[in-house]
Amino acid sequence: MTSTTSAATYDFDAMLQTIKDKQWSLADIDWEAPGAELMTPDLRAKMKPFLADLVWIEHVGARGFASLATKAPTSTIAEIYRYFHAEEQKHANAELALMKRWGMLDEDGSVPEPNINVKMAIKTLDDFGDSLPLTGLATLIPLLECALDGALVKFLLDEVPDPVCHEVFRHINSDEARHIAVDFQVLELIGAGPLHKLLIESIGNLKPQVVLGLIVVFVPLINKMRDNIVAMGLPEQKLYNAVKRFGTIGGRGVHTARIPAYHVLKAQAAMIIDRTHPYHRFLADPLVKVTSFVPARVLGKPQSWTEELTHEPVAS
Amino acid sequence: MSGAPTTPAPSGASGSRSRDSRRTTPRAATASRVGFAGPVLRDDAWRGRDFSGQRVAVIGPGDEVARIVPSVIATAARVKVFQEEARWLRPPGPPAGSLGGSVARLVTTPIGQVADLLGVAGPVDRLVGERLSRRHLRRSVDDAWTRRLLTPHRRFGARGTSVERDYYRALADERCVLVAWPVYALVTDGVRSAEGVEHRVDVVVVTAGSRLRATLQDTDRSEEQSR
Ligand SMILES: [Fe+2]
Ligand SMILES: [Fe+2]
Repeated sequence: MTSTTSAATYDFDAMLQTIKDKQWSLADIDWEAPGAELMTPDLRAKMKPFLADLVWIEHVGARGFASLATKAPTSTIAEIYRYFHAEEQKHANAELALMKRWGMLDEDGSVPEPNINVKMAIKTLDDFGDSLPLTGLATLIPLLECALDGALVKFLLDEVPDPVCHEVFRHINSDEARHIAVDFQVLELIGAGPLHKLLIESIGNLKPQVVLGLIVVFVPLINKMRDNIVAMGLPEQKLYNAVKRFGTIGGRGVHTARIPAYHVLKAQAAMIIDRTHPYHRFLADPLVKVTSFVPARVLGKPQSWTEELTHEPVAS
Repeated sequence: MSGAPTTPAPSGASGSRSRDSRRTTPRAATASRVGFAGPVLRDDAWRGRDFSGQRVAVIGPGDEVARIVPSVIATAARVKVFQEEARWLRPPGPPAGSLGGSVARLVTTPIGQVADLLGVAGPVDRLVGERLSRRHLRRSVDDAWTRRLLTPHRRFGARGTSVERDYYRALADERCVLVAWPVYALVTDGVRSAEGVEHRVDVVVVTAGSRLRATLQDTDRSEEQSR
């Protein structure tokens, strides 16, 4: 992925075909294969909250692609997003299956309860997800994918010696490489559009209460995860590199720099990784604190997409 | 690897083909992925068939599965509906020949007439048609996420629209499951979709407009050649 193919020449049809050819299934993996015994009780205890978070990030990411699919610029890209939506679900399912393998789920195998910030993100996506403008969502997703791919997954693989986990993540990483490639090509396509449309899409369509809602929901969500993961031993340098990659790949494009949301999110990402930045003291930390008092019941029941996760490779 | 595709993989189908020829036959590469052990029913083969005790997968775009599922659920033990793309479904109503004009005039008589005069009857019809379809969906399906899965991304009228008859009621049956994940392979024991799960079934019904049709035809051809 070193070329600077412009959006006009990028072959989304060929990419869609590659995506179809590279499909894999939980049933391809031998979940009983040896290696689980390499997981010490300490490691299991440390990894359990990490994996639970990871499952929910993938699952919320899946919902993000579902929203993107409704506003894709072409029907091929819509179909690609449909696959990505499913693949993120597959990642969440596979990570759940790993948790099951390592005895991290209770007897009935139920999905770990998401924290309040994840619950708020789910509520926001249910209420506004499909009305968010394409540019904002299409920019946010590659940022999260860079962080996920570059920092979280690498951390996990450094810590976990189980070969089955490595086999699973060979598949996941190969999927993610395609996600990131497409994410940035779509930014190129959007960035090549007329400027007035970019400006209107960025700010014009958003109601102030939605903007405020997004800040209240996503700022503490990301900060809480950031701190949790650093506390677990993820070197901050890795986080820094992962976010730098967002700027590097985005910078290779010809048109991406014309997207206002790209600059906003790049700047925000820089603040998030720099723990000494006033952003944390004045905005993120207080929001983490405030949201921790939000009772889950005020959010109501989430939509039924949150009930579709499964660790079972086979359903009948 | 259990449950792998049973048809020998013609790896040349995707591997040796050049990029250009691949673009003209976009689904050829998935031909190696059809290896279902049970019957694959096409066209009208599902009609009048007794599915007693069987788990059935119905695969196709929204309007086509909507026509088939109500009959299948009448006898089948379980039905999984693999919806490839949501399509607009009009509420069952007066048998007006076409939606063009008639519905708009029935429901919003003055608007319909004004629209006719102004020569914008088409767009008004589409607007009204979409409204009626949405309202019908909202009234018939309780679950918000299921409604979202059943709502097309395209505007109403971009394709011909069918009438919903007993489909929503079939979906509400506890023996019926709506799956919107893309199907990428038929394996020995069932259907594999991109969320990573293998759905075990006894019979597969593939509609005429299904994206799997090209794949199935390629498989037929290669089977004929190997005979
Ligand atoms: Fe993922
Ligand atoms: Fe991804």
